[in-house]
Amino acid sequence: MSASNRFITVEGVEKSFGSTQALAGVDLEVEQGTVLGLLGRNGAGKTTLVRILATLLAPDKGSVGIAGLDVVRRARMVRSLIGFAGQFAAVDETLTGRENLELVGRLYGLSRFLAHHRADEVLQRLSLTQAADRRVGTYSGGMRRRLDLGASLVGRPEVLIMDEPTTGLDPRTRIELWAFIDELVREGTTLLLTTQYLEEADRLADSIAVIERGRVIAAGSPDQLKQRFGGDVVEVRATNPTDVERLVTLLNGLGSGPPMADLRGQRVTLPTGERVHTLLAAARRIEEAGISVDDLGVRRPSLDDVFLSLTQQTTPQRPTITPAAATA
Amino acid sequence: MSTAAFDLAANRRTVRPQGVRAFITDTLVLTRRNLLVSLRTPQLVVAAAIMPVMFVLLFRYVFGGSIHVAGYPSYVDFLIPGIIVQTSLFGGSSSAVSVAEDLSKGVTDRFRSLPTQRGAILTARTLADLVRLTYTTGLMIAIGLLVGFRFHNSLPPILGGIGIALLFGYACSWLFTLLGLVVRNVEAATLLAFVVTFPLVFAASTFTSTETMPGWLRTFANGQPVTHVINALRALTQGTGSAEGPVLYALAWSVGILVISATLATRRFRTV
Ligand SMILES: Nc1ncnc2c1ncn2[C@@H]1O[C@H](COP(=O)(O)OP(=O)(O)O)[C@@H](O)[C@H]1O
Ligand SMILES: [Mg+2]
Repeated sequence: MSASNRFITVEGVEKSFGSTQALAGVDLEVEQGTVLGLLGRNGAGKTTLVRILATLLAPDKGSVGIAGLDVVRRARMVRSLIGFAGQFAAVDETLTGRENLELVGRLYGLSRFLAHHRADEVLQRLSLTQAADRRVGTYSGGMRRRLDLGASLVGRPEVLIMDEPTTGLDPRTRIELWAFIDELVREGTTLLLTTQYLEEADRLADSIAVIERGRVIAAGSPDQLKQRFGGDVVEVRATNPTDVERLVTLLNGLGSGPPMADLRGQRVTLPTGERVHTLLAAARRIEEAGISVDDLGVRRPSLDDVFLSLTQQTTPQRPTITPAAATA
Repeated sequence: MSTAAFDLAANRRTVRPQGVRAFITDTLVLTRRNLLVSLRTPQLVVAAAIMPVMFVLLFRYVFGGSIHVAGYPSYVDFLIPGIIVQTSLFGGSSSAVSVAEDLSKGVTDRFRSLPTQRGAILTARTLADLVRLTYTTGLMIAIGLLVGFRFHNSLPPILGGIGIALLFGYACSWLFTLLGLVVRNVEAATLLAFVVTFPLVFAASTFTSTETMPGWLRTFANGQPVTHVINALRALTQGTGSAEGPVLYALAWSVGILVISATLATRRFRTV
């Protein structure tokens, strides 16, 4: 990455709340016009980092720059450059969609005329024109989220910061929102979004930073992260959920790393460098133990596997619970 | 870090000027928003009026007959100034709840992430309170006149008295804004508002003279701001006794609460 392309820089950022250390030294870089997905479970420190980027919170240590501007010392200038959509849809239920957007436009310093015009533009882009003059209290969850995102676009920001934009949305609305985010990125917006969903990071992000307990434990493109995992994965699906733990014990030592259980999916995955050899060995052991399985195969690793193996290294006491199960 | 290219990019954008004009515009825009929100929450508008009206009716017609205060041949003339100040305090206390609500809903985060004057956010909050307060005060006077309340003084002191009551209410609105910023949570703010207002309103000269209270209670009642403000308002609207002492105390308390609360709230707001 060339130095001049670092549009967002986070260097050694630490933040504590009382005795809780929310961020324990975070370093990040985002190139202009790209999407960084900040991936982590509940409590990993995502919101804290995002609030620092949005000038809402000052770091205890370290520095954060957006477009070369320090977010603490040049906060006012930074606020003119960014759009922020927080973890909860921050729209007024008693105001109409249009009123919400016009308010934000006015607070960006736009004239009444321009604020009105921008609100129209945003409403149209987000297909909310029909509902524009209804109170937000009557909107569905998806519409609220769209309006909230719209509010962060009124100022035509160069950098968009979104905290878990699709958490709590139904799958269809989520896909709509992804398409919309793609569109923004095509127009050149630099985007930093947080998510608990690997699928979302994989789908949207050019680069991913995995954050766990206030630290970035891995960073790179989705492909790099998958390669870092190395090799393939043998996957077994148990017929009975009670057999998952037994399978973990049974397959231990066969692969290139320890087996991992996904309790919700009733699956056990095992990283391996030698596909066929490991598969056959696993099949033999399963047969000898007489465990009934629905499926057994070899596949390429997914981001889920990467995340599992990464968080497993940092949370040795609970290695077998997947993030999907833990954050549901 | 090589930043020259981005500095250029940043400077090309119209970065919002941050002068007095921006402050005034932002304050007006946000005050309008706060008033719209409360206007469209009919429960709030009605609740703001209904409680004091109930108190007026209760004390005028139920208890009033058996309450006699020296110097006030008609109890209603004693009662209405008390009700007006009570209403200011209750009105201000709703600020704690609205502030906590905006914080927990993320509305405050949104506003603070915009190139908006941060001072304008809190100023607008309290100005909207002041507008509401003026409305409820007017309403209380109108109702008072309907149930027999009369002014017994010339217009300037009457207006002065009402001004002091509004100033006190405005100061309380800053005080409760500060409390809302500290507790952050809607339920806690509701409880706290109640716990703070209750003794101030009832251990005071609101409904009866403090003379008949036991010593320890009288000491508290006579020292605390609500009694001073009510006494000032009574003296100025009824021409009873010397107004100078209560007016000075009322002003000192109001300005003191206002300056300290506004300073602490503004400081607190930077790090919420
Ligand atoms: N205002 C706060 N006061 C105290 N602790 C906090 C505060 N905000 C966050 N934390 C703590 O910091 C850690 C990181 O929280 P957060 O950044 O919200 O994580 P995430 O957004 O990834 O779920 C958590 O342990 C959380 O409890
Ligand atoms: Mg969060």
